[in-house]
Amino acid sequence: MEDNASLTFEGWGYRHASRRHFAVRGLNLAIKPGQRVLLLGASGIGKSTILEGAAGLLGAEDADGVDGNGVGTGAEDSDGGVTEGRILVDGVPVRRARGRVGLVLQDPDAQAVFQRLGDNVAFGPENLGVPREEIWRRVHESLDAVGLDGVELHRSIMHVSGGQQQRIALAGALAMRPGVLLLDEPTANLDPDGVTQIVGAVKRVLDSHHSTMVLVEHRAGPWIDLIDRVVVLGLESADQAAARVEGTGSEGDIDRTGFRRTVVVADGTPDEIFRDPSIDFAALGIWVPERYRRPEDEIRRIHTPGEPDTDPAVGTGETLLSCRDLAIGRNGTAIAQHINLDFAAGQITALVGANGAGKSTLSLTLAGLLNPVGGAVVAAPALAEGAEGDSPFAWKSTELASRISYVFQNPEHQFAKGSVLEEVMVAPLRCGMSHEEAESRARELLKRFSLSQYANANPYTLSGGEKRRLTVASALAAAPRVLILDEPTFGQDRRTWMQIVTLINTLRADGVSIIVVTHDRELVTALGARLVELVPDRAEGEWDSDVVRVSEVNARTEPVRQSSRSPLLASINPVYRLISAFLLSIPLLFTLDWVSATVALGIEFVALLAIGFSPWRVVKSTWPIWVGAPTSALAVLLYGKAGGSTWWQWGLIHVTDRSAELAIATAIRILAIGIPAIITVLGIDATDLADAFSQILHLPDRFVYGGLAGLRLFSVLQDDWAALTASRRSRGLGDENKFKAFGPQAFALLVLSVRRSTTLATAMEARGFGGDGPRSHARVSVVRPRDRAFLVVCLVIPTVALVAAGFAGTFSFMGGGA
Amino acid sequence: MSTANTVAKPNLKWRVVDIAVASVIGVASALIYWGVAIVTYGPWEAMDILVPGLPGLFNGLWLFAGPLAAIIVRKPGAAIYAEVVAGVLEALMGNMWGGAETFLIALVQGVLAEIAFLVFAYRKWNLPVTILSGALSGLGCWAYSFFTHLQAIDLGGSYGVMYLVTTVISGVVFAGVLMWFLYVAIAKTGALDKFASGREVRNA
Repeated sequence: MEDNASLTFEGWGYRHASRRHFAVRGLNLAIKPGQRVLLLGASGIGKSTILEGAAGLLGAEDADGVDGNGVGTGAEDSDGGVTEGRILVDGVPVRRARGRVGLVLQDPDAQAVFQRLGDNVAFGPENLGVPREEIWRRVHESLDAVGLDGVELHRSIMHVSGGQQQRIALAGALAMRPGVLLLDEPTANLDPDGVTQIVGAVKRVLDSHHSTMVLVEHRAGPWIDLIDRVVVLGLESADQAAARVEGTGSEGDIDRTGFRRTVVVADGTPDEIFRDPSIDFAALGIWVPERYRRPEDEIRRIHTPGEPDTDPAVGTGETLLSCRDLAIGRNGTAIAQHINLDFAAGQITALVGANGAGKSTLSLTLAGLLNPVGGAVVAAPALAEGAEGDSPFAWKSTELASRISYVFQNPEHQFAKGSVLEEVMVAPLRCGMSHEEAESRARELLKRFSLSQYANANPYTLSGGEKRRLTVASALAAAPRVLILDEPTFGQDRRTWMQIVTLINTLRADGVSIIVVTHDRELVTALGARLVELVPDRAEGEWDSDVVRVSEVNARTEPVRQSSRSPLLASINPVYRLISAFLLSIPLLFTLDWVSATVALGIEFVALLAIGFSPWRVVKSTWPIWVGAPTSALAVLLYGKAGGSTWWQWGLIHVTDRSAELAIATAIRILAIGIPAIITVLGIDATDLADAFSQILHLPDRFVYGGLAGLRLFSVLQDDWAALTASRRSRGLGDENKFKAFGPQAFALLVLSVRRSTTLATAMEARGFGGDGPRSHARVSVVRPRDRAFLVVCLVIPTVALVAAGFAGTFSFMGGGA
Repeated sequence: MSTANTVAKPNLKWRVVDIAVASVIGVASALIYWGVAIVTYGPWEAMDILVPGLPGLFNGLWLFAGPLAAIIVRKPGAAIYAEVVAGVLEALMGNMWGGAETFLIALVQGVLAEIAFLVFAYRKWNLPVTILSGALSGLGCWAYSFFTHLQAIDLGGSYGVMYLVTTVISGVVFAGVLMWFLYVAIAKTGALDKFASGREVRNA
């Protein structure tokens, strides 16, 4: 099957919101159908912007920024950006060629919209309005194309490896039948096995579909056999004849003084480009593929001025931290046991192993942020001196910050202050240093890490590489003897990579014991680090190293999740379950009396028992209202409507016959209302509910599925919260009063959530979501006679209760008068 | 903040990014609401005995999703949408106020929070309007309580009045003032550059 399209940039440019300079400007580039292009250029040259533009994601949805022929008018769009020129797919402006271009982004986790794996693949075709049978045919075909045939479609996207997630994202793009496939660093977040999976999957797709492909990737080595054209981008300035290609300014954002337009500085086959001696690939931040490497491109042990003579794999011999028969795990279950390791001053240790093998668990345990499941992490006297005991997990946060520091993979998990300078001063101040001393130490570190010019900037506004340097500077500010870095070179181009590696090497002179969690072989080579590999039971290690055995990654089949403990309830349509919850509870609000409440509660317990909930199970599932009901009852008892004889009066408190009766009625009624309202909806699958909202209540799909995508981030945000808590402990902020600590941490969570949702919106639009065209539905929300019958039964229960109150003469409308 | 005042011609059409951000603000808020519920349970009863209606001061901590989403996204219905997403999530998890009911209370609070922005035709985005939104949301919260689990207390009596005053104050402080400055702080991180609200702060 041959399906490919041409891609043409005509004087195209885009300026992002709140930026002074265009990211890309005046770009002219024509890509023929079926070409496989590797796009290269320094970090910050605008490669991702080009791909987003080509995917039709820039220029916003309003007509202001782009005219009918897809030509940018130079006016600001509703995203605050400005478009110039146009991009054509087979001669059609890209924003009108929905579904012709498929984009795969860097972070696999950010591209999942649905919980179930198959639904994510079906999402693109749904947005294009493809008929249902055809959607599922395409889902199977696409999963087959990426080598995932036979995978369970209901399997949770959270339960597959990063490499598999990324293959599912690729399948999701393929299911739209795109003529052009755009890949934006699709392997940057993956371990070596994941990289092999993705390259293999893309190769299969290209071999069968002959799609046009544009790839952006710093490490092109594994891809090189697939590439037939390499395009190197540079900048042309007003004041210079020759185009500039290197980054010269602050890294991450190359110097755009006098920037006039984006130009193609080299264009040819891989052989022509990579054998061209006039191109300085190191300055471009590009890793030259292994086969083309010249002697100067090789990564060797690096050396920095003032480094000690000792071997970094050994250190000075002074042990600072040890594991004694250590068992590690997150929920009390050990994933690895009997670990015995020593970490010495001046030593660099690399913890390696496949994704999910437990590298982070081990490093967090070493950092005193996770409790060992068994055995102990022991701080040597030299490290523990002055602290309480020798177990880092038992230390106070301030004791920890000045001894062992942890640099998180995501810098935004770590920021606590509004300026770069304050950020670095956090730990020294918490550890008791005077303000002047802390500031001079911070300024010294900023200078050393080339961050002085940003002292007053907001940490969040720095570029990726700068953020990482800042987190290392902040971690070092309290002079810890042990520094642990989680994936410090993740997703960095060759230039920022070199800066980070150099930085780590200079720390040896301070006698710091450094532990890096990584799967970057070149990092290990450059640092001359000692290797410790975590290897699943029965698997072979991939590295020549010390091996720590860990439990096997769970690979069993996953049963289909039931949406309720009761099979009957699970079979009811989600919207009908929601409505039934209201029918059960709302009528009871008409009267406040103990008879109606008790009758309703009694029937409910019997009915729930009949459909499979034992009373004990009901109490367990609804415990929060059993805690909440007494609170309201107490308020009613003390301050409720008075009547009859007075039991006790003191100030405004007035306990009477009537207030006591009302308090009892209030408590029972809260249970009678709350129990069915919780049980009927508890366990509803969010995707099924969204389908029902869309198909039965006819709510707009944009809002329903936008909201659903947001709900999926809930578990991601929970992990963020845990990481924020740990990072605050590691930085000396963990001993603070809970209320005082809550605000800053909630702020950090909200910033993260806004960023995550912005990425999510891009990923959803890349699947064609949000267009004006009709959508189809891959899943059917069925309504059967039993759903309607269920509603009737649910209305009968409160009705019986109200009638009973009427006969008993206790009916009291809305609690009666004052 | 004189910068964030009037917009000549507001663009009221929802973009995908508006929907995504509003819903995730709802989700993150639900996570925070849940934490607040656990932390405040103890002090609540003690304060209620000490001064009737005093714990209403906590209520604003469950009201902020609506005003925050509205001032960031600036689209009609943003406050309702964010509160309802938070409510649906809470309902699916099960919590102290009882499953499906959270959906209703979220709707009431969201609608009230929305009214503040609606009466200014979605043209005024400043601290006073945000405070009004927080106050109205507090009013909704108070009214809902007396319509449901506090029916047995005279809403015009001293407890009712005190509970109204404390809840509205809490709404003003937490869902109004605090959210305005929180929005400004988030905008300063550059995370809101795709939004008119974010660019107003950054380009000021």
